[in-house]
Amino acid sequence: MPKISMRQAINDALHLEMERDPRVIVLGEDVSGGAGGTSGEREAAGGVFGLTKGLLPRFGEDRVIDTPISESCIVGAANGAALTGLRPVAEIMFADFVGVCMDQLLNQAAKFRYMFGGKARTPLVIRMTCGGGMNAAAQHSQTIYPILTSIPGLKVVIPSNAYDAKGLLLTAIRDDDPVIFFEHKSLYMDECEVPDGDYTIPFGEAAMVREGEHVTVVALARMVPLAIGVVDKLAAEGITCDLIDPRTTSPLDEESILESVRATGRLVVVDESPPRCSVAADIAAMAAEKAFHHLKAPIIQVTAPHTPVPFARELEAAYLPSPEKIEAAIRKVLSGR
Amino acid sequence: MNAITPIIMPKWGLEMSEGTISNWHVAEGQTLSRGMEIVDIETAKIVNTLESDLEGVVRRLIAPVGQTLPVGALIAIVADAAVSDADIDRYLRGDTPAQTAANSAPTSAPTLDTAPVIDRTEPAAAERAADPDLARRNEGVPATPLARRIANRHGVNLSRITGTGRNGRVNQEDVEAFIAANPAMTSAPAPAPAVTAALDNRSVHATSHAIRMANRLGIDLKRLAGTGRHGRVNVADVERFAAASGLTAPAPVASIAPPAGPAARKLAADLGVSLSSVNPTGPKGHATKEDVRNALAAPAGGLDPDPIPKGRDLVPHTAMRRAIATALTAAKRDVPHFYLTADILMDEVLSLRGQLNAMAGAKISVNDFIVRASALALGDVPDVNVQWTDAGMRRFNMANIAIAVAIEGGLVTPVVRDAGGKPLRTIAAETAALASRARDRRLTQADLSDGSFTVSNLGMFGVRDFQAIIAPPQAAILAVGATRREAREEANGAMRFRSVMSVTLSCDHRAIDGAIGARFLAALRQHLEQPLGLLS
Repeated sequence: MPKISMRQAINDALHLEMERDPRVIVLGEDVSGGAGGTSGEREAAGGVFGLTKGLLPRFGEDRVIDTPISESCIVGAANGAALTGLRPVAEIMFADFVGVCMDQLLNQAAKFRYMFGGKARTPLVIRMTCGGGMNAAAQHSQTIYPILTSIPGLKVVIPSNAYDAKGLLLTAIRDDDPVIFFEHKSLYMDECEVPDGDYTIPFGEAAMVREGEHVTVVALARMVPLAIGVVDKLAAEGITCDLIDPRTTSPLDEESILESVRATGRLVVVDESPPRCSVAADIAAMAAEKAFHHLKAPIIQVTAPHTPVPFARELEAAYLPSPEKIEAAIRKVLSGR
Repeated sequence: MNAITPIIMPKWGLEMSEGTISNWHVAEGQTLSRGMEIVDIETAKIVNTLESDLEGVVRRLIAPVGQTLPVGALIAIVADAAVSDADIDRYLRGDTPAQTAANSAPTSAPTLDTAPVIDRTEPAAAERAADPDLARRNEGVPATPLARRIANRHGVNLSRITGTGRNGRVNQEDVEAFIAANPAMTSAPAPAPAVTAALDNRSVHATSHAIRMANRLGIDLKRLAGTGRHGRVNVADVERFAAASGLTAPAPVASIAPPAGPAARKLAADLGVSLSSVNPTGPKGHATKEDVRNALAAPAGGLDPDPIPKGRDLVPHTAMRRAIATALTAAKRDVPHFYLTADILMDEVLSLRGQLNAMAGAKISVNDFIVRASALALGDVPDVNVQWTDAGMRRFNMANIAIAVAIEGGLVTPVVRDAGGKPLRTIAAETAALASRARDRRLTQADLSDGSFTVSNLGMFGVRDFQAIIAPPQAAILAVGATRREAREEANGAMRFRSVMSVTLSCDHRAIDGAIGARFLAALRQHLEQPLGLLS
């Protein structure tokens, strides 16, 4: 099985699905990059992160559409395309810009099926990059998936590795509801073994990344590889953890998390988002509500602080959850304090 | 061979009393040949591999990974393929007299309660290397032994992994990353478990905990309809099935303690009451705060033997930590210690060491001098080179010096044999090799056994002097402090700065009297203060 990066895995999934289903189109800022330009080079970018490279030459400009710099227009056009029978995959270059198109997401895409009595389908995927660690400052580093997770009618996917990214993206494109697909920028280069062909990963089914007895650790996106390092290190000491990657925050695999918490009695949630109204807070609240009598120690959340993402490298490093913070949390939850 | 042969917990070395199964290399149904690796066992000090000295088919793996068993306990059954399962069951029940192999007398009754339903949280026996072809193919790929083992166990073809280790070698991380990235892999046990027991529950659409519980109870998940998301089987489904089939609900780990709310838990922790000693009267069998207070008042006490103090972490003990605790507690309790401290002038040793190490190739430490001098002093005063036994005094005719080496998580004491008969240079080389193997945890039982005297040196940490605990069955240990500069009065009344080292000899008074210990220290001092003799 070839070992490829998450960038390549997502690019592969787009190629596969556009080949398989002629209704799939891709649109966004610079997804090919040369439209209307004077350089004569038609595929000038292939996406700023290279995720849509090679799509234009293969599928043509009717299906790979460079848009103006207007997120409202991108999502609005995608909404219309989806309602009229296409399966658009729109790209918002940075999730931080989602505020600009919030009405199209919150009040339009998420609501069509409900407002039209189930007669309308919105098979729409919106890919967006998220996450810190790239020294990209406060407007290009956020993990705003809690905002979108809180909106009923949207499905939210946050892969932590190339294998999951490909399988989840194929599921997302084939889903008849709007799906927000978050891609953590710092994971694009991470490689793992990914099958060549077609496979899908169902939404709402967490991955049990490691199995253990003493602590349940739930981690999302880039926090998963960090947590793997810590969990494996502690395993050498005899401390073993269930490490759960929910993979989708809406729907959330409550069952897997609760079963694990009921077995271990201890929960650490690791999330790169700030702590207020976050996915970590949501999971912690769920465990406190539904596994209360199994808890042996207070739940611990390892999150960023409630501030914008700092620009200075040192501050950003201090802001993000680190292996040291995760390890300290696991040791603390074991101490029962 | 038509007999049933038990594989028992081996005894490696005099002091081994129990071992922990750390990794099975064989699966049930696998044919054993002589010399084949059977199982890794962790003892107090080493991890060693038990090799087969017989041929036959592995019929039962009794002891799961992680279980600690006394020496002589039954861990597996080997028999000819012709022997029926029923015969093996009869044997396990004890109906058939044990047909013991030459080296393996089962000294304890086989434990039937560990029926061969293997908990999935442990790597199941059927998962490991059940495909000999794969294992053979993997042999050809450059990989670390651990990586190869994990790959074989999970049915991973190593040639599909790009190694990131030295010279492109596949390491543990590579294999684990591959497995983590391929959920299908994690869930696909290596091909066809040959015999019974292991269930193929990983291939069923079920939650991780449902699979673990089903494996604990021996339930085949294929027989269940899932009620979870996308028809997934969850824990509740397994519990319902178990109840309907009359299976006892699985005891969750450490479930002896009743459930309790946070307030009751906190009170129990504050009062040092173990929840398992609390008689729950609350709703749904929960322990209330009142119950906790009652448990404290009850005459049975119910004091938690191990309450977690505030401000501490509770980290599970390693086998080494437990062994150290047991051995040293016994030593300090049972051995009547006394201590003799002496100062030794080290100027000559330091000067001689400087000259020796200035010569190409030599790298001799002060400790090597002390080891050699101790060995010669034991030769001068053989009454210290002894061990107390109830039957009589065991005397050694050569000085086997054990050297305390600190390693992560504890310490080990590898032995330089006959240090009195070896030149300094040999002692230095052997000590360096032993210390390096100790840090890699690769010492063998032979490296660790037969010590007659221990040297423990904390001088490099600036410790001035200390009193060491004797390591039974030895009768003495030398605690070595740092060499310091100190003003001394010379014979002519002048003051001069000298290099001084304090050593403290701990003696077992049952075997060694004060005057004998003092004679040893005098001999040691003489060897170190006139060190040319150490070169002979």
